[in-house]
Amino acid sequence: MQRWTALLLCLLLLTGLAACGEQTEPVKETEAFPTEVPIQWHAETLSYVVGELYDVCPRGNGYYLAADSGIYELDAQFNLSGEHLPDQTTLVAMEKDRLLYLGSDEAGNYAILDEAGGAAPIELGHGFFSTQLLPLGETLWLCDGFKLLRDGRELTLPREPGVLWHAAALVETGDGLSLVLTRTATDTLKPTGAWLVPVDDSTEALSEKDGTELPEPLWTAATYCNPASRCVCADGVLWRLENGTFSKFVELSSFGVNPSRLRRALITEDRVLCLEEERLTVLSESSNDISTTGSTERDDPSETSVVPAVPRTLTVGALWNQDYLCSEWIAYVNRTKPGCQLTCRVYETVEKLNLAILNHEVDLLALNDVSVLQNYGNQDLLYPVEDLCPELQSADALYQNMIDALRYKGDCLYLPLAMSPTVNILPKRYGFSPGEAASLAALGAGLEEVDPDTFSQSTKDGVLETQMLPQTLSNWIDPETGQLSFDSPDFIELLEFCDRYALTWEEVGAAGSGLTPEDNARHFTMGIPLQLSWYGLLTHNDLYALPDSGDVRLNLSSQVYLAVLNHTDRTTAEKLVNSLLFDEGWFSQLSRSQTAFQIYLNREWTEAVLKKETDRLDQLEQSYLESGFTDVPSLTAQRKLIQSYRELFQEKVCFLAPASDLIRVVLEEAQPYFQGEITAQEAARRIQNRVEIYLAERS
Amino acid sequence: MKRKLRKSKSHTFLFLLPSLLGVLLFFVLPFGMVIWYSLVNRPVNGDFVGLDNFKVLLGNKAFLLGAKNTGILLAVSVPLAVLLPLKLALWLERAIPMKSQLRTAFLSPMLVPIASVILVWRVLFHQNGTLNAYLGANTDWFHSTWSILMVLLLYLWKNIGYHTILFTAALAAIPRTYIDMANLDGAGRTRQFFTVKLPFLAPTIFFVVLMSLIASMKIFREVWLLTGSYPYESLYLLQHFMNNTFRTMDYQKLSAAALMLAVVMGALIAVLLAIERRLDRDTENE
Repeated sequence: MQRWTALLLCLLLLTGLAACGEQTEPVKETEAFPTEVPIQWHAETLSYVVGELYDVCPRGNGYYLAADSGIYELDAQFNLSGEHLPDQTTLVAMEKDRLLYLGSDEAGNYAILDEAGGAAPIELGHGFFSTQLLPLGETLWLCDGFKLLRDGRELTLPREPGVLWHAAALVETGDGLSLVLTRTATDTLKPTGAWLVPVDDSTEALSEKDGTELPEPLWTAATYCNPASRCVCADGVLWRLENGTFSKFVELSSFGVNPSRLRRALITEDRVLCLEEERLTVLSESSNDISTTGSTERDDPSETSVVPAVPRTLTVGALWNQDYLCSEWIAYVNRTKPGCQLTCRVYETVEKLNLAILNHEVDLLALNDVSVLQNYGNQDLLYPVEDLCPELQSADALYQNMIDALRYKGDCLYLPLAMSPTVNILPKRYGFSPGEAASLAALGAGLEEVDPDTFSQSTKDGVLETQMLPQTLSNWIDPETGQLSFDSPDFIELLEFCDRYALTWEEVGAAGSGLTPEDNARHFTMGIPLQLSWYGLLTHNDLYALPDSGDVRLNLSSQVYLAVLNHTDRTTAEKLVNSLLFDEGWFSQLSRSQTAFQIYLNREWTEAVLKKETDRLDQLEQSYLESGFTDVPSLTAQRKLIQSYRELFQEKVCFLAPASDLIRVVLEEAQPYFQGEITAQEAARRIQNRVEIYLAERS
Repeated sequence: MKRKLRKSKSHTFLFLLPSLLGVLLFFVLPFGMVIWYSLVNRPVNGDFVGLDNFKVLLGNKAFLLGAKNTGILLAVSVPLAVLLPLKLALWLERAIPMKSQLRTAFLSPMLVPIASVILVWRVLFHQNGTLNAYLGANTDWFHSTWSILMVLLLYLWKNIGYHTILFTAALAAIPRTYIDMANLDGAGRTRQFFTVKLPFLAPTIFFVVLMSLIASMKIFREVWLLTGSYPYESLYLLQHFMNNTFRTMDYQKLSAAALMLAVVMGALIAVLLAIERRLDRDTENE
């Protein structure tokens, strides 16, 4: 009897121990809206070119849809039901069943007017270009995506070196008002956290120094907020406010919506409307059809396809945040490939990603740090892409030299989603031909003479990190032998070049037309290029050809590389890789969405990009000629550059993919030199020492 | 009788079962996995390669550098971490003023958060920092062969207090009879220490040596906070190698290094145990 009592006690104890383990509730995935409804365009509107879509809002039983060609009235089934109102240039907001315009009042001052032309009281929750106006009681709150103002007074946001804090959006939470506060690293422009911070009439500052203690960030990146619908798009998921807290509502890319390009998300009783630049996707639980509207063409109903009952879901692993190009690709695949569905999962650290790979939680990787992918390649975890796409081995459709440049230990293990050439050619007007400047000092002196503002916005470590190091790393590390030469005179000269011609952060802030370094980063994140040309040339912040004994080679870089883990289903992996390289629909999508000069491994696609650019130059030249200009040197230079690119794409290329750890080591040791604490020789010695260890570990 | 004994043994086993399961799950199985990883060429679907990983490791410059620096740190810090606290404890044993305040002061380094310590160390050992100003020198403490001294000082500062307290308690536990007898026999302080006190201190010395060995491994945390994942060569420890290979998913090298370290530590502890047993026997015989 005693024996059985003891046994029972032990079993109870074991059960108790097992039950003590942490149990987490499974994350609630989307329940209510698994599919989309088709949007039917009225037959008579086929000739419409709708153009870029800006906004959508409810109107009575239907909707208003604002595009750059005008405002359209849609009925509840999204048929065009009313007049097309062509003039929307002064439209500022669509909210609460009315349209509001920017106009002038009787006194001639700017005012917000309703459709009848009368002054409208400001009682909006959102929309006013990119600025929110939110009256709450007697207080008027204003948030423009960067600053937060209460009754015209700016509230202090946290200040931190190397970090940019944004007041992204305001949202009413039922208990009051909350601010979506986001944090971005200025060196990488990557989001590092998004908070929901309550604000009220007593809030003066949002800074830990002033006593506001920020809790753990709710998200990594909040890209959009619709206070009227009380939803926030963050980390690729639409979150909805319910009972005072935000909960996951819709994983957007599963339904072919690119969360990075979301302009408006409207949650109604039975639908979710997701507006992107060129697409309005309506999610509803009532239909099994999938189709979306394109902005410039009507979808052929015969192309709609039925979603199979259980599509195969693959997970794409990303580090730190989801790149917009990766989101674009995931959304495209989910829209167009019925047999496959992609979802993205973001990991905060490499260690967590490693664990996820070992547990087979991810199937594909979309990373911008190639060294991490190479680590996985060393462990034979990745499919050689040539096994999945035999066309990689033939020179016809793809650039063989680029593929060869991508190889790691003989195998092509990852592919760039899109590439940009990083300048290694001097524009003619600067008076140098490739290889003509005999030394970096001569180059720097020459650039300063030609254009004194060349380095006015460039910091020393910024120039080293973003321009000099990526382009020259292979000069200091021999990939074959692993030999290092950071302590060579050439590298010391490079450090001295950055120190001499670039500025400190304080100097940049003082010199650059009143802009602080944070402002520079802010302008970049707003998407307003600071005098950037189509190629990233001809700017104040770019450097040009380096003295390289006349060997002009083209450096390419990509913001994200895709790799396939070898436990992934091979058939699906083959389809995905082939679609990435040859699917014309994907190329059309890229062409519509690209905001910078990008090229592709596919020759035809790259040629199409170059032709598009040539056509653009032709149009520009035509307009200049019509205005009376007979010669525009910058256009001539750009034409010659296009021709040079065509030749260089066939020649020697290399991919700039320096490991972030390596770059960090170099920058850490260069910093004391830039601050005047040590000599360039000492900095070079330290860099050599530490990088030796880095490479020795990997040997 | 036999039946009772069998019954008792089975009850014992049952009550030990949860602990045994825990040890199996959290120690034996992971250790087994480490051994497996050290014998294959990939973490996933790896092929058995025997001792190849160990051969590669012994030829790896980073591993050898880390092992060398860790060995130097152990060889210097552990004896100092035993001798200095022992000396302090003997000093505290005498009738000195403010004895209890001094004991508290010795323990206070353990209370300071490590991030604060690192900040202070950075200021102290910066090339334009306090120490160089005091010494009138221009030594770059973070980038020279003397960098290990900085780590050693940090280690000793952090751990001396605790060891001193342990020795103080051990000294207080020595029966006064023996010390009085030694005094009567005319034994001097030094003779008393070696013939009377040291045998009684043996278990504590053994414990302090063990704690010092473990603590000298944990100093990696401070070094990492001071210098990052890839420090100057004189500060590169074995744990840096392991940390970085873990990050790069090179589990084969990591496991092989961990096993080699376990073997070395095991040998050291076995030697210590043997010495401790010998000293214990001597004490019991007395």
